[in-house]
Amino acid sequence: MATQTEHVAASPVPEAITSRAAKPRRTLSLAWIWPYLFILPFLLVFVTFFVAPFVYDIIQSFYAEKHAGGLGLSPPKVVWVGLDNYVQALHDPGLWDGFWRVFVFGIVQIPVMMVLALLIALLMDSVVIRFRSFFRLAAFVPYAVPGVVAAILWGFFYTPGISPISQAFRSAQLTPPDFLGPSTILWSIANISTWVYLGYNMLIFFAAMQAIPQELYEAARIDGLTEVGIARHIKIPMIFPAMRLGLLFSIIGSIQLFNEPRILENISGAINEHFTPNIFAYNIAYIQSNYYYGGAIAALIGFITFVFSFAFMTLTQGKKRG
Amino acid sequence: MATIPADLPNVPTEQSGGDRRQVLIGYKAWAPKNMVGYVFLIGMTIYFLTPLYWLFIASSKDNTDLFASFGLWFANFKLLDNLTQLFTYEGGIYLRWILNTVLYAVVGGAASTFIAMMAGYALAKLRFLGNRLLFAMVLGAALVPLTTLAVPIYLVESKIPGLTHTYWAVLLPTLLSPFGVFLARIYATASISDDLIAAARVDGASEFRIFWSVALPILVPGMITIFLFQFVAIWNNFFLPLVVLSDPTLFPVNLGLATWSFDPAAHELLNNIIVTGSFVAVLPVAVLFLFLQRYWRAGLSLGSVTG
Amino acid sequence: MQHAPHRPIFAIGTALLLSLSFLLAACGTSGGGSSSGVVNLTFWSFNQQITEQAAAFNATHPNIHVTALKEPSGFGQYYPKVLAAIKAGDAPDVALIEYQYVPTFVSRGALVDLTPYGANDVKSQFDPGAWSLESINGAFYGYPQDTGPEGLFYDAKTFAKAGITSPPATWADYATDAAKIHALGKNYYISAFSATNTGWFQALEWQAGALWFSTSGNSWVVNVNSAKSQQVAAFWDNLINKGLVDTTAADGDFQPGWNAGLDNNATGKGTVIASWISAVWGQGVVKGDATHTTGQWAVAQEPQWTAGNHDAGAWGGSGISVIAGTKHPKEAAEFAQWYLTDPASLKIGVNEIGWYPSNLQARQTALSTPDPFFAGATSGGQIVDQTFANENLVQGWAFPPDLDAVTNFQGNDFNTAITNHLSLVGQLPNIQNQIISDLTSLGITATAGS
Repeated sequence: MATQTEHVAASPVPEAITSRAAKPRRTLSLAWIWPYLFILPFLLVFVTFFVAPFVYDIIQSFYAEKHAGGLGLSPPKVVWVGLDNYVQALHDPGLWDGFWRVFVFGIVQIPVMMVLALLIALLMDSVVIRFRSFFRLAAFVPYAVPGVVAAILWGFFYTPGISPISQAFRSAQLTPPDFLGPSTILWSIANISTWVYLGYNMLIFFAAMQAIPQELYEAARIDGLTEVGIARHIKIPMIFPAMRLGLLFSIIGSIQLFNEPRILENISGAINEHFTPNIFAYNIAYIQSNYYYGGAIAALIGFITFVFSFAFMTLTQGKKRG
Repeated sequence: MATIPADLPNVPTEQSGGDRRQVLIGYKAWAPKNMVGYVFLIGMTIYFLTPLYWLFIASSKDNTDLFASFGLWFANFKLLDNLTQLFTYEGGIYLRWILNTVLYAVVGGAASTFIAMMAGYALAKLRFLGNRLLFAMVLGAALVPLTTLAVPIYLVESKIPGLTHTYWAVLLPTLLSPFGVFLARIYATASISDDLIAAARVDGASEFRIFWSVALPILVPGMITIFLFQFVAIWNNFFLPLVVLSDPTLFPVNLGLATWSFDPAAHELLNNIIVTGSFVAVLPVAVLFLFLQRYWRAGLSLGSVTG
Repeated sequence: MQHAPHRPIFAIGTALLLSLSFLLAACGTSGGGSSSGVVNLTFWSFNQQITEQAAAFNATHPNIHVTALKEPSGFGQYYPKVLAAIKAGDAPDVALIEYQYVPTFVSRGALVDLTPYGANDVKSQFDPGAWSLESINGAFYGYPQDTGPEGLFYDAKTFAKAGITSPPATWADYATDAAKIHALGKNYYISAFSATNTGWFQALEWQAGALWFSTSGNSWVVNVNSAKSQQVAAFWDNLINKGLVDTTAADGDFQPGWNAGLDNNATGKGTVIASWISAVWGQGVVKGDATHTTGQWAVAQEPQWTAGNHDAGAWGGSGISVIAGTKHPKEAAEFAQWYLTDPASLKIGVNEIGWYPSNLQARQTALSTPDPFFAGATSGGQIVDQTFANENLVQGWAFPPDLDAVTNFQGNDFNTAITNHLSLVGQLPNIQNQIISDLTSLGITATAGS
C-alpha cells in the first residue's frame, strides 16, 4: 500500500499533462459532456419523482374545488383562487399550533438526545473500552427497526392495560403513568424519536472523535489537561462539524415529525388532526383528499423548514469561525 | 490502470485508531471512575434493547399470555406455533411481503446508491456548469415533507402507462436519494485526491473508467453506508406503497403488517401474529447491519470528518 | 486487504440479479389474461373472500373478467386511496363504498348513476331503508350489500355477576346497569366511549331521531345542535362524568386494549368491557376478540328512548358502486348487480364474509342458525341476526357531502371535551358551525337547523 500511495504522489502531474496534451485534443473536446452523463441518472429520477410532483403540488396550491351553490351533488369545478389557500393556511390556528408543538418538542428532545449521544461517545472514546463493539451495535439497532414496527412496539408499551411498564408499576402497588394523555404524549413521542436516533448520532460523534489525530492528545497531556479537559477543549470542538450536521438533520426531523404521532393517534386522544404541521398536511391532503389546500400547507412547511435550517446554518457558521 | 490504493489514503479510519486508547497509561477498566461510565452505558443499553427484548418474548406467547403474563419473561413458549400461524395466515402472504420488501430494499437500495455515487462523485470531483445549483437543489429536496408528495408522485406515475400497481411503481421512486448524493459528495471529497484522478487521466483512462476502477473501490465503505441508509429508508417505506399499490401480493412487509394491525374487519384476534411478524421483520435489517458493520463504521467516520 | 473492497460489490450485485429475476418472474405471472373481446374489470373491497365471488362471476360471464383485490382499511386508508386513484384516472371500475361516504363521493363526481343500467328492475329485492341511502336526487349510486342496524352485545355472565338479570330495555336502564357493572370493580365498564369513533356516535343520534343532516329545497340543513341531539350527548356526558364508561383512547373500539377488554370478561382481570353497542356485523368482531368467553355473550335490541319501541340507528353498512372514469360502465354495472342479486354470490357473502345482507331474499337464509358463542341468555345460542331483523331502522337520516370534514370536526371537538373534562353537549354548536362554514367554503348551500 505504501508504494501505491507513493506512486500516486510521485506522479509528475504537470509534466504528464503537457506531454499528453498534444495527442488527444480531439477526444478532449467532448470531455465537457462527461459530468452531465454522471449526473444524468440522478437528474432523471430527481426530475420525475421530485421536481415534477413538487411543481405539480405548487400549481395545485393556487386552485380549489368549488361547487356553484345548491346541494353540491354534481362534480365540482376546479377554479383558480390565487393565494387564497396560503392566506387560509396562515390564518389557520391549527397550523401554528402544530409548529409551536414541534418547536417545544425540538427545544427539549434535540438537546437531550444530543447530550446523551455525546456523553456515550465520549465514554466509549476514553473510558469504556471493553465491549465497545457490543455497545455500539446495541445503540444502533433501534435505527434499523422499521417505523411501523417501532410504532406497534411502543404502542403496546404505552397502552395502559397491556403495557409491561404499567404491569411493573401495578405490581409495585403504584399508579402507572399515563403515557398517552395530553400532557405526556409529546414526551412519549420524544422518547420514541430518541430511542430510534440516539444511537445514530452517537455513532457519528464517536467516529469523528476516533478520527482526531493522536498528537493533539499528547500535546494536551503535556499541557496537563485531564480527560475532562481534553473532552472539553479538544474533542468537542474537533467534532463540531459532525455535531452541526447531526443538529441540522434533527431540526429538519423535528419540524417534519410525522410517523410516530400518526401511528399513536389511534390510541391517544391527545393527538389531534393538526398535532404537527406534517400530520396536518397529511390529514388535509390525503385523509380529506383536499389536494389544493394540502399543497399550500406542504409548501409552507417546506419554506419554514428552509428558514430554520438556513438560520441554524448561518448562526453556527459564525461560531465555527469564532 | 496500474495502481489502486487499497485503503483510504488520507482519512484515518476508525480501525486504525480503534485500538490506540488501549495503551492509555494506567488505564484500568474497573477503576471506580470508569465503573461509573460502564454503569451508565449498561443503563443505556438496557434502554435500547428492552423494547426489542420484549418483542422477542412477546412473539413467543399466544394471545392469552400476551397481555395476561408478565411482559418481560416467557410464559407458555409458543414461538413455533406463532411462526407457523404467521407464515400460513391468508395463504402465507407474509413470506411474500418479506420477499417483496427484500426486493424493494436490495434492488432499490443498490440502484439508488449507484446513481447517488455517480452524481456525488461528479459534484465533488468534476467541474461543470450548474454544479452548485444542482447541489443546492439536492439539499433543498430534504426540506420538503415527502409524505405530502406521495399523492403527486402517484399522479405523475399514473401518466406513465402500465406503471402503477406494479413493482416498478414502488421501485422507481426509491431510486431517488438526495441524502445519498449529499453523503456521496462528502465521501468523494474526503477520500479521492485530485492528483489520483489527474494521474488516471494521464494514463488515458476515460472518465467513466476512472470512476469505475479508481474512485469506486476507494468509495466502498461510503457506498455501503449509503446503501444501508437507503435500505433502511426503503424498508420503512409505508405511505408510497399504500398509495401506488392495490394488489396485496405486491405489498412490502410493513404495509402488510399495518393492514393486519389496523383492519377493523379482521374477525380474528391477530395480536400474536402481528407481534411475531414485527419481530421477524426486524431480523433481516439487523442481520445486514451486523454483517456489514466493518463498512458502515468506516463510512460513518469518513462522513464525520467533513461536515 | 487488496481484494476485500470488491467482495460486497459482488455480493450486492449477485443479490441484485437474484432479486431482478424474482421481480421479472413475479411480473410475468401477475399480467392477467386480456385476450381479445374480454372486458377486464377491477373490483376493490375491504371484505375477505371476494376473490371467490369474482371467480364465480368470471366462470359464468366469459366476456368479462373481474380482478378482485382486498384493499387495506382502517385508520382512514381506504377512501382517500380510492379518491386519489380517481384523480389519477387509475381507479377501479367497481368498489365497495360504505353508505356514509356515498354523498361525499357523489359531491366529488366519483360515482356512476346506475339507473340507466337497469337498477330499478331489481329494486324490490332490497331493503328499502338501505336502497334510500344509495338514492340521491333521483339518481342511484350503488347496490346495497349489507346494512348495520345497531343492537347491544353484552356478556351475560358479567351482567349476571353485577345483578342484572335482563338486558337494558331503555337508555335509563342502561345508565343504571352501567353503575352496577362499575360497582364490580374499578376495572369494569359497561362500554368504551371513543371520542374519535364518530360514526358510532352518529348512529346513536340517528336512533334518537336527531337527524343531523337533511335537505330543504336546494340547501342542506345542518342540525347537530338540536334538542334531541343534545339529549343524546347529555346522556353520555352523564356516564362519562361518573366514570362509568371507559374513555381511555387506547381502550377505544378496535384498539388492542379494547380487544383485550372484551376477552377479559373471562377472567375479570385488567380492563373489562362488558358490552358493546354495535351493528349486526359486530358479532364477528366480538367472537374474534373474546375467544375465551364462548357461550357467555348474548345480543339484545338497542336500548330505547321510549320503552316498547324497536328503534335502531345504523352504523356502517355498504354498497357496491361503479366508479366514475370506468371505460366499461355497462359491464361494471352488470357485475355490481350480479354481485348482490346472484344466489351463489350472496351465499358466499352471507356464509363466509358474514354479511347481514340488504338483499331481502338472502336475509331470509341468513336468519336461520343459532350461534353457540351467543348462548349467554339462550341455551344453545341465539340467532343473532333475528334480533336485528326485529328492529326498525329510523327513517330520514342522510349523510353529509363532506363526511371527512365532519368526522374531523366531531372527532377533534369530542376529543377536546374528553381530555379537558368538558361536556359533549357544549361542543355541538361549534361542530355545527364548522360544518356549515366548511360546506359554504366548498360552494355548497347550507343553513343551521331551527
